Amino acid sequence: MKRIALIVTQIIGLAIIAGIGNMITELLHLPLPGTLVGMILLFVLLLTGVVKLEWFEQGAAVLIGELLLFFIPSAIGIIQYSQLFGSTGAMLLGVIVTSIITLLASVTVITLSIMKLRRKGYRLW
Amino acid sequence: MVNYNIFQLISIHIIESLVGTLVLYYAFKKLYERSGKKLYLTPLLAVPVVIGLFLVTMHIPYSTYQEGSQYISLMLQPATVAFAVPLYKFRGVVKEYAVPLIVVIGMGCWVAFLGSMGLAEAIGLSPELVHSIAPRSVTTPLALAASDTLGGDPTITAILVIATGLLGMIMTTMLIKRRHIHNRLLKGMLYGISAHGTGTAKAYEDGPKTGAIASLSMIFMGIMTTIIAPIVSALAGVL
Repeated sequence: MKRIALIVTQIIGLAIIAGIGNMITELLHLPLPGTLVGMILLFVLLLTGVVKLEWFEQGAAVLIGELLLFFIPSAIGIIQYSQLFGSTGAMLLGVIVTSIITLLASVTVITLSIMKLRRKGYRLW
Repeated sequence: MVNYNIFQLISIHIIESLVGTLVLYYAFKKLYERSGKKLYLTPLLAVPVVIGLFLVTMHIPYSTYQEGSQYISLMLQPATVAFAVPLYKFRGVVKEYAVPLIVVIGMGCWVAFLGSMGLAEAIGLSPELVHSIAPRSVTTPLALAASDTLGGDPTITAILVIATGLLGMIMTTMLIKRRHIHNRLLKGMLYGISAHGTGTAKAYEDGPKTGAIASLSMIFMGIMTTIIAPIVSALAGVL
């Protein structure tokens, strides 16, 4: 029971930081999502020691552990776009799949070549 | 006489969709783990299929389901902030790999961006769709901003982002299994760039180091896309 209360409190704390992040992007008209600003903010606060890791650690672990759950409602949102199930949808799907393959292949090749170069003693950085 | 009022009806929808989603999620999570992590049982694939089919066959509008489920989506906000914790814990890894990640993702991002736009145009999709499809490799809020810059339709981009997250996660998992990729750096990076948030969530299954690299890759990919979008938009104007 005590652990649950602690986790809930920590999640509320993370939500407050997300809110602050949203406020910052709105005030400064940043082209970034507020939650990303919130993440950077918390990272800086942890680095500078303003907040302690233990204050957020358990809540964060629970949220990250259940991350896939939070994407489920938006994934179900696809049912609103029945027109995407037709031929346009098939074409879009083809484009997505092909470009994912291109992306995965190019990044794998680039990374492996860099690693190979490193093993041979060439260091790019 | 049954005494219905509007508040009761609303609260019933909220509880049904909330509890229904949660129960199915935990059921499939258990099933997925017991099955030895069979990909088709992964909750992000199985639960939307089950609930989606249910809503369509029962003629329940998505907006009704969303009344309750929006609270689940809302949890993405603190969850995104929570990524700071593993990033901080693995700050050594972050420092060590920041430069290679930026270089590799910088190159990969151009390939993904130009590749998907070129292909979409080649098979004759409308310019609006071409521009909606371009920024889909990143997390939703960033993709929406990039789609706006390019003149795409944000709603379609949002759907494509989710589709990419699902497909990218599935395809990366298949690639890693088939090619026996054990390098955590490469695994994390592939998940982070191909499937943004969903890929990152999947990467955490592999361990916190893979997850931290995936979240870092996702962030870089997102930032890179917001930078590249206006450049591509300008180039498209010239060509």
